[in-house]
Amino acid sequence: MLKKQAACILILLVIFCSSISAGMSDKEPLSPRIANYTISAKLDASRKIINGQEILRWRNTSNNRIEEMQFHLYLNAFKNNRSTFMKESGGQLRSIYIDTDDKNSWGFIDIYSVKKADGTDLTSGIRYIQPDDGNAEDQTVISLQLDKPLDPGEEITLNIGFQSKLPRIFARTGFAENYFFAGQWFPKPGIYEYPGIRYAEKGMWNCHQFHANSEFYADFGVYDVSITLPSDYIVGAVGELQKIQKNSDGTTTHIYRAEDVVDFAWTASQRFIPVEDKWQDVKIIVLLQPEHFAQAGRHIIAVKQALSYFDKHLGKYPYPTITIVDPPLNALGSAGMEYPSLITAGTIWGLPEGIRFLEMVTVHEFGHNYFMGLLASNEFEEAFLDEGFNQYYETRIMDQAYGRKTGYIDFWGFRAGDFEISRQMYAAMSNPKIAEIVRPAWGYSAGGYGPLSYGKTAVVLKTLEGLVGIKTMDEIMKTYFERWKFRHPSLKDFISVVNEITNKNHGTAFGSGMDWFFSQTFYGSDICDYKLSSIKNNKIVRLTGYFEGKSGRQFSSKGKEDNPEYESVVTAARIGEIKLPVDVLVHFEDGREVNEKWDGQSRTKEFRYKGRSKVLWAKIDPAEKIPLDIDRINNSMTTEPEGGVFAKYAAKLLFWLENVMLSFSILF
Amino acid sequence: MNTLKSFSGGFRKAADVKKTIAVIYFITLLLGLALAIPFESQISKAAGSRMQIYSLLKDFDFTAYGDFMNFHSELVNSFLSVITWFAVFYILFTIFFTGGILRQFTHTELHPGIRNFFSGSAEFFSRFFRLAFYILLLQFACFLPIAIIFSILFNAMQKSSAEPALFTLLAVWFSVHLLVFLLLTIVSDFAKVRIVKKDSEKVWMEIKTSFSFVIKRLHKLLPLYFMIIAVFIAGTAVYLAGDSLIGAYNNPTVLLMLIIQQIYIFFRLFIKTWILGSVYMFESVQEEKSPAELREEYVN
Repeated sequence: MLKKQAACILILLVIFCSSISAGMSDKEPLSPRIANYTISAKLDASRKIINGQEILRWRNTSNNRIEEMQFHLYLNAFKNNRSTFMKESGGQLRSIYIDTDDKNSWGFIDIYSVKKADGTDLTSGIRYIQPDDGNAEDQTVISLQLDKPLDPGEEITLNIGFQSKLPRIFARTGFAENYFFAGQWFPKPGIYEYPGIRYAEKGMWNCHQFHANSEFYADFGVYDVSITLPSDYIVGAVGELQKIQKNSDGTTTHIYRAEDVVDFAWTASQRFIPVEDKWQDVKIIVLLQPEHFAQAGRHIIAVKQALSYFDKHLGKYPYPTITIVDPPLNALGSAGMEYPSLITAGTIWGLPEGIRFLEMVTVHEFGHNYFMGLLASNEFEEAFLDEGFNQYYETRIMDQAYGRKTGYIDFWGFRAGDFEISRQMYAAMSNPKIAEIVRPAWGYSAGGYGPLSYGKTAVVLKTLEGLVGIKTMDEIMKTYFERWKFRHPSLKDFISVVNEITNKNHGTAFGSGMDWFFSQTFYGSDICDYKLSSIKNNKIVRLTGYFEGKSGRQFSSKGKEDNPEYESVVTAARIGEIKLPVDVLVHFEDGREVNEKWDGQSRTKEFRYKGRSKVLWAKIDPAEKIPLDIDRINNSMTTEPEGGVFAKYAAKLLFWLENVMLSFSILF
Repeated sequence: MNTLKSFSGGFRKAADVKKTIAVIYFITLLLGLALAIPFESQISKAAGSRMQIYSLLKDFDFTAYGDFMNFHSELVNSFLSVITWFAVFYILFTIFFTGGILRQFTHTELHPGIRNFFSGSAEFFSRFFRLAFYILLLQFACFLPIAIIFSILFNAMQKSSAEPALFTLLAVWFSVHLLVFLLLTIVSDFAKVRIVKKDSEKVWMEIKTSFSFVIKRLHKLLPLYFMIIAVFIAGTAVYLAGDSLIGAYNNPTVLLMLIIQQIYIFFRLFIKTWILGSVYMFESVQEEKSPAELREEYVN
């Protein structure tokens, strides 16, 4: 009886939401709006279950007749330890583990009904498929057989009844006591790709299983979502709040609408303290844990820095709101994640001002609104297109806002810029040649996903910036953004823009394009390493001894050499396999400097000079335009080494050894 | 009164043996140089003519540090691993010289010479080694149940508590450990003094006697130790302020930094000797009988 009542309420709410959406102002759509949802969700807070009713309107924009639809059921990744996600991850994400002995820790999603608008029941046409690894026990993708093919241009409306059991948070989504974060919680179709979209050569579904390293990929659309839950919960969600409705049973329904987005997530907690602000016409909402309230300003300043920077250097943020969710300590598995117009940050109580982890996460996750949210690349197959590109912008924003050498941390004498940290993510790999950047997210070797798709990609883009100049780089990125926003770009689309703009601005300075750059950096796994091998200053010795001249044999001696001449040779070497044009700055004793250009192709290059002044030092890449160079220490050399730095660190070692010994002696 | 008398008396005792402290300091310095000199030689050989490394002289440069460590971390780590062995050896050295210092305290009227110091050190080494072993066992026996109780509490609170509650628990945990450690250290110090003064071979009995002695007078001893610790903290603060002011960005300032660091090390050794001296004085003062007690003894 109760179930019937609940179902009736849900259906009424769905009809209510549909009527609201039908009456909404129809400003010009920003995206193709292929997948549009009206979802009614009721949270059972004690059982951690969402009962949902979803009306999906999906349009076939291809030239093919489509006989099946494929859906993501991401929550089934947490159903048991046999899913592909659990097998690949070992039951953890970012070192937070699932408690396998706790029944409540697991999660799943069940579809109990799929019907067309005309009432045709398609439920029996559901079967689990595993397009990536054939793991028959993985249930994160289903194929839904249609009763009749969907013609090109035709739209289908499906009523999907589902129930989602949220896991205890360890991998982005779920609950932690009375905090809920619902991410990837509803059935979501994959993307039907066809020629013109990414690399598709024919029409087919792109709907991958949920992997340990992958994130998500979905079409743009409109979401009208009503969330019903106990009235003492504060809610945040993607999009704009339309209405709050109190119900007679002690629950409240929060109705949200989000236009031209690829995803919908929401959060609820009894402990949130909302703080609001504004940047231009964008409403900023921060949902804070009470113990982090003192850090509200840091969240707001960081997101404003990001809004302003992206607006100036990339493109306009198109949504009316941005919500920042601050998860509690026991739900940090949901921290550091992005959804369109909603991000999760993450901090701890008492985080010092000089440790800018909070700012970094806020800026990074906000940036994903551009890379993933607007430039909706395929996070399964080309994770670097959002993670690495976003990392590149994160470093630009953080270092501009907080200092090139202090952007990430400035605490008790330890300082590091954000780009410096990102570069070390790659440069400090035990094997930086382990893989190329371009591979599917689940295809990286152990430990390679983060350093390559985040760190190395950011470093490669920074190197590109160094080669073409910041003006051209900004023009490239702006063109890429404007051309591909609200679409699904691929790496080849980005390279095409790079070639177009560099040819326009630099002619043939880099050849006929930059393909040679991408083939080495994205598609290859070699390293870049230039080394200043040697500096030789050879005194030119005058003729000495007996020589036969016109007037017979004559003796010549060195004599006094007041002002000897030198032949100096500076040798630079290419140790790595990546070939990039580099500058070499040569400094003479008399203060003169010469800036040489080397195409970086050969293994070694000699620069020769003759004159009265010796070469004192030389530096490869003095302006640090090539951060991809994996060892900057060997880029320079001097003929007059200073001992001060070594004495300083030896003195430090001496001091710390003495302190350690004295501290141990406290034991007696 | 005993507390203040012991505090100032302990300082005087330490000052009386400053030459001995200087000897201990130089041995400590030699041990440190045994590692620092080869370290300096190795890192300058690895990167001596590379200018990027000089950015580490002016200030900390993360890129220079990171790139150096990427290619030379084995060199650096090999030195760091040796530090642990040096630290263990230094505990033995501390056990050794403590006997010598206390012998000098008992024979101050005979001019505390270095020969006296070394002979005292050798004489009491085996007893102090046993004392160190027993105290270490007691530390472990006390720490283990405390650690188990608090970690159970922490695990129980972790799922549902926010950081302030967890941090408070950790602070309480740390404080309890610290107090227990301090108590056993005080007991150990008194046991050392009693072993030397009474020339006692019964180490375990001196620990038991010292324990009841300390417990009865904890209200006087804790302030004594806290006062000396406060001096240590103040000295450390002065050092840190000086270190940040100097900067160490060129050869003269590096030399200045080195001198200030070594003064600080000498200061730490002085503090350690001051504690021993204070304990010695406290124990002596406690043994003095009042005039009324002496009269009663005479009458009886």
